[in-house]
Amino acid sequence: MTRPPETGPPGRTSSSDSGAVSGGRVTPPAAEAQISDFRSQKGSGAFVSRAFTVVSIAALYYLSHRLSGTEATYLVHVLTVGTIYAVLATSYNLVNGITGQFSLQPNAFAAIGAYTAAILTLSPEEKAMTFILEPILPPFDRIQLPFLPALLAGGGMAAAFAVLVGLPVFRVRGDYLAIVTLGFGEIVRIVATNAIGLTNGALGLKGLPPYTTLTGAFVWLVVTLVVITGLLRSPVGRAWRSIREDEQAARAAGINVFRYKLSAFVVSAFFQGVGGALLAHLLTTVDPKQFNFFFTFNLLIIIVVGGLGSMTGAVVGSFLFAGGSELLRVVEEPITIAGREFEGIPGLRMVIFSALLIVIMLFFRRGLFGRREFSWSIRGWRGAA
Amino acid sequence: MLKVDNLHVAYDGIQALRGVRLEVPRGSLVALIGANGAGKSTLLRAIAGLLQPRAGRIEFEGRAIQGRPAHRIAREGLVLVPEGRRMFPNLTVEENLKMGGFARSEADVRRAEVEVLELFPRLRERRRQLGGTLSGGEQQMLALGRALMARPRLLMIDEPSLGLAPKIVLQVFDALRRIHAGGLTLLLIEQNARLALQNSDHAYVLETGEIALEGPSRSLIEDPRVREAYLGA
Repeated sequence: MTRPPETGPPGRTSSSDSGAVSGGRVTPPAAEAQISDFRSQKGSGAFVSRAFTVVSIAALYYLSHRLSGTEATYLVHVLTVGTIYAVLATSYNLVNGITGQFSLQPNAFAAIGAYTAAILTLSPEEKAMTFILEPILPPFDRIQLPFLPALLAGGGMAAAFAVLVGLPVFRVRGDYLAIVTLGFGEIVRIVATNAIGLTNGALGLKGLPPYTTLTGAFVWLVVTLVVITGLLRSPVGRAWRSIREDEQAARAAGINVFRYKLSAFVVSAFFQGVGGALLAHLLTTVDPKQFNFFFTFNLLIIIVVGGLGSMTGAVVGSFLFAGGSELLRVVEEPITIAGREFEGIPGLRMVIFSALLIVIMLFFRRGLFGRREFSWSIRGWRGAA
Repeated sequence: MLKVDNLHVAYDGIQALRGVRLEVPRGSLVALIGANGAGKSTLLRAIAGLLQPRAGRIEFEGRAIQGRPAHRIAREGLVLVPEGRRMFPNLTVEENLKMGGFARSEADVRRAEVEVLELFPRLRERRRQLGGTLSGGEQQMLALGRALMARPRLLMIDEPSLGLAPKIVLQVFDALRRIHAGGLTLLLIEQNARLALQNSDHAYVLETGEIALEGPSRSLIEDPRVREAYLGA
């Protein structure tokens, strides 16, 4: 979540005008020294901000752990949902915001991850009870895995499907990705409804072990952010952003655009698979309707409100969305104002969300955070994610 | 070094280039002039692999490269500076430069960076600024610098003077001359025919997708047809 400060220690910067400039040329030794200056970003500032990050992660971890044991189950549930949304939104942002490819993918990959993990974690007895229409296909009737391998399998399966979908889509240019991912989500839903021997059809899978905890979700969020921000700071991340900026120029610069689009898509799908699996083991059920288009649409709202391309924005947006949809529940319940009773209107929450979205788009064109990221640096916001 | 033979390119069935033949010898500075829509950019984009030709042959250092993907061609050392100062506006100057050296080793990038910053001291001053916040001339220098980071053996530049103030154009051409003097082979597109002919060894005139004229730049400047059509004299 943090980035090293922009420059090294003061005093070593801003020497470009004082350097050995003679006749518009800078002598090589001076040039060399300067470049190594801004290359090594291991100043004390970077160390401090890294320490801050580690300390705050540890503090949040401890807090999440303490909260899980308390009576505040409702709060814990909402926070857990927000954390899982954050995993889904940051990874979604990688494709839409960073690489600049408009995609409508998360519901498909979250569903794949959720089903894969659920089939693996359900106990044989539970499976025998759940699959009443058709018995589950062997060998899945006997397999049972712990949570972590099941999560990884869910992510891996989503990533594998991302390769299958991405290979043809990224060969063509233009907006096909949105259409194909939209269609793919529908295909996943229909397959989930009809592949009864694997998914139990429309009845869905029930009685999953409630493995997902706030702490567990938090750890996955940290993993997601560490992996994604790590990639963003590497040459891979620069390649992704350059594709968003100007695909032709990226190609002319020698970047294999196809490969980098695909890699962003696959990394994103992996974490969405994990996110879907986490969600399934929080709600303890998976069914085909759960991962419909609105699932993707909600995540799209989150990343647009947060600011396309900003990981900070995606995280903040996730918690605003998770918290906001709970707070706004009030408007759908019957209320008494000044002695008069008003009936709740189901669906009013979405109306309010839409209105808020319009307001945000009017006043914060580029979302709450734009492309900026959270940073410990006193210089404040760091631009250009 | 670069040979284009009988190149045909079409957009949706409309012929943009018809049998273009062109040669860029090693160490030369070749200019390509012509009116709007003559097919100049199409030719460079086809050479760079950004467009697929319908027929013809493109040879770079003795190897046929037509039909190969653009990023491969760029890695071979045949690098295009696209039209309209296309740098990455939301990456910093430094990141832009690093993108140029994407396929190169860390050591190569560092060396190239020193050279580029030496060539364009302005970029050094602005290296933490976003590309999009630079002035037009600086953006063109950044686009050039980024292309140089790839350590090209032949650099193709599409319309470097586009949308720049006359004084800045001279600065850009000054930079091009210095790059050329450093031993790099250049193929340059330019609408400003006078500037192009004054600064090149050899030139081609492209008219509606065909090479209408070619010859040493010095003699083309004197050619009555060129004078009338392109130099306004």
